[in-house]
Amino acid sequence: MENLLYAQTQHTPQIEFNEKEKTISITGNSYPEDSFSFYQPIIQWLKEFMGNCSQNDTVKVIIFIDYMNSSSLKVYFEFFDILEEGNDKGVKIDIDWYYQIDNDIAEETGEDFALDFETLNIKLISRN
Amino acid sequence: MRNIDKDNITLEELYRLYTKQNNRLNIIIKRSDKQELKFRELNQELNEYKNNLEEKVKIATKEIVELNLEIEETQREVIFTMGAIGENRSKETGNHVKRVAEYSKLLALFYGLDEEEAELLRKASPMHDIGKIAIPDAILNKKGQFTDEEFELMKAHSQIGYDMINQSNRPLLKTAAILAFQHHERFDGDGYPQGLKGEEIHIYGRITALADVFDALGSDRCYKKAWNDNRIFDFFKQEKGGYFDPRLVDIFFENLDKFLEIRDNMRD
Repeated sequence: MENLLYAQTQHTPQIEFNEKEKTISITGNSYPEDSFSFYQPIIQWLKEFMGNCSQNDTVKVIIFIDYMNSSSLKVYFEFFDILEEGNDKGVKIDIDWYYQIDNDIAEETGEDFALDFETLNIKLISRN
Repeated sequence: MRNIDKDNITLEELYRLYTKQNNRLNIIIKRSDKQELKFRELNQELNEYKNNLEEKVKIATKEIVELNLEIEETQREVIFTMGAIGENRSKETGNHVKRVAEYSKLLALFYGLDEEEAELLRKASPMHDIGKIAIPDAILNKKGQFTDEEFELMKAHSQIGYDMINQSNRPLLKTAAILAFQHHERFDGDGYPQGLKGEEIHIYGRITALADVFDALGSDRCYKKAWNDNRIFDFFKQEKGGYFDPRLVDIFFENLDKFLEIRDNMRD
């Protein structure tokens, strides 16, 4: 399985998924014109990766998105669903949700995820 | 959403999934509304800032334009007042300097100088006699011929005027200094203070000499009555290449109507 690498653009975040290291990192903004098409291969990769993970594995997820549009938000529910499935089958998943200290919308979005996915270990971390 | 067995799903499970999805939808809508509100507020702020800025720039620009006008007006008044000090003391009228200024600009344009330079000459022209402030009244207003000694004193006004104004580096005052220094030079070299000849005399000096003499001859002075036009024109023809630059004399006669028009419009 190949690692997944997307350079950051004005509308889309930098994406670095490393299969061997079991790290998943997403940073930047997310408002592509067609979020579903943009995230389709990313979701696909995550599904396959999570399917390959076993009970003793630890996966580190870092998400630091300043701004995401509504369709991106919908995609991230699906993203967290996949993580939750992995979590349910015993993979240890640590999620760090970063937000700029004055960005209350990003903070609340993190809180919403933490509430909706109560079994997932989501840590909210503010940055200056 | 997790994979579900569509055939064997219970009503409770379906309801649970429905509630969950509905919940997520609400989260998305709620957040979307919040973002829209934020955008609108930011947009409004930006618009206000923009409008404010336009208004401020408009006011500032208006102030600058007014200040500039004020400066230009002040400059004109100072120059005319300075020129008038000399003129008044020698009992010449205030319009003399203004007419000479207009003639000078016209001569400059016809001679081929550009508008900017011609305008500079017009503005500087009223200062050409500024050195007269150092000449005693008794000499300035003397009726009849000067003694040699008096004439030497009178002639000093060129040098004095030059020394007064040439200290400055402003183009306007530099120009005025040339006028003050050279407006009594003659094309044939018999003028003063330096006795320069032909094109050794700066074009500004040659122009002012012609303009000044033309106006002086047509006006009453303490030492003479005004000449009639024919006498003036004969003098100009006679002094073409003598007192005056021949090219300027030609220009003068070729455009005589325009010079007479200025004289008529600015009578004393």
